Amino acid sequence: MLAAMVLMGTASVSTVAVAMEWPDEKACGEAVKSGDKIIKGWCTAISRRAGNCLGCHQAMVSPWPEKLAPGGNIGPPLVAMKARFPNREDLRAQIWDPTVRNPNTSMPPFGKHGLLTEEQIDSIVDWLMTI
Amino acid sequence: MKKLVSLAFAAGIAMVGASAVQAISEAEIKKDIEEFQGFFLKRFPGLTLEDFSDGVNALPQYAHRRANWEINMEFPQFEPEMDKAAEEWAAPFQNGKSLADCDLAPAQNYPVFDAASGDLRTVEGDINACLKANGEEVIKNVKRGKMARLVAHYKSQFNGEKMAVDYSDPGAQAWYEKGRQFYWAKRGQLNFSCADCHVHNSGNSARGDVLSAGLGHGVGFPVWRTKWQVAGKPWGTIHRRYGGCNNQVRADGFKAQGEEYKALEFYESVMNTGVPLKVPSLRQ
Repeated sequence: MLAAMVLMGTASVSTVAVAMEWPDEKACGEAVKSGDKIIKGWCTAISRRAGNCLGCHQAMVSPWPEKLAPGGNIGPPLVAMKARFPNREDLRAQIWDPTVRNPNTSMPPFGKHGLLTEEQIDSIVDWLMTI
Repeated sequence: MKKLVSLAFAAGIAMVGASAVQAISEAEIKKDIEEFQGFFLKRFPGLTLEDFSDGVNALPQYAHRRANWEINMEFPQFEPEMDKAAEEWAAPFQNGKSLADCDLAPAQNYPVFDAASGDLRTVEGDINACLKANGEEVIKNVKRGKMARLVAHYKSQFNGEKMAVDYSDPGAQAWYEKGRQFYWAKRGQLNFSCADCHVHNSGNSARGDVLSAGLGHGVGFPVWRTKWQVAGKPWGTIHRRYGGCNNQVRADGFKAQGEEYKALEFYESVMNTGVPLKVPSLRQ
């Protein structure tokens, strides 16, 4: 855990995520128009009609948008993703079909069951690699 | 095709008594109950079996909202409806009899396995059977409104009685096995089983909502639910709730009082053995 925190600290220096202003669900409509792929990934992740990742996960972004309810605690918090998934494709595969690694997981197979498009999954991975 | 499938299924159920189709014994069911209840008593230390009557309100993770629920239960909004249900229960049929003359089992024994037909009896089904037998019109909507209100009225007379469903007949054990498989099988686009949320993640939060414990599911039903009240139809039976849950995991729901939900109700009721009835209840 400590290693993860340190890694996160190191990563934060070099990524755009920290300086980012994170929109809430409502502000996402306007924010995605900026074309920023990290914002697009974040918005896909928090939207109830898309990833709804916050249904089960807390996400460690700062500052947390004031009007956005915190995430659930069914899955592990989304933090230090680069440290946990050095290989981007592993993270993508985990979202696409987490039942490969754990058949009993509560996490839905977002790609396999068509809950998200391939493009949406890519965009969520883009964002996750920055936190 | 659909008919064929259900026919084949009915045959499967009927066969169980005579053959060895995935049979589960009474002793195995007893062990299931012990394991299931033991899991929750360990997961929520300090709670007794009786506490689980309160549903999600019993969980420590829900403690900050419990006071509000208790206040609402002191002068519940369903009270006038309960008075209405009592009148409807006593209202005479054309033949002079009333619902009070119906031959119902004690509420804590439902669903009841009927060996003669191989079917499961629910309170909803028995009310409609009684209406029919007396030449009255059956209640078409078996999920909400009048039916839910009447079931709540009947079951409330047994409040405090501990759930005790009879699963000694091999036919009943076949229903149990069907319900058990339903409960633990993943379904829908979200790929959730009942157990994923209500066993493995009970007490955890899905955004702001606390997931209820599987133990105690149903002993407060029919319920008066805020979410349903907003849509103008506050009463709901346990089968209405099952349908909502199936929709939430983006699965096709099944018919209220159909085989799937009756089997699920049977499984959950057996798991609740010893948990007291507390009907109706308020749920969010």
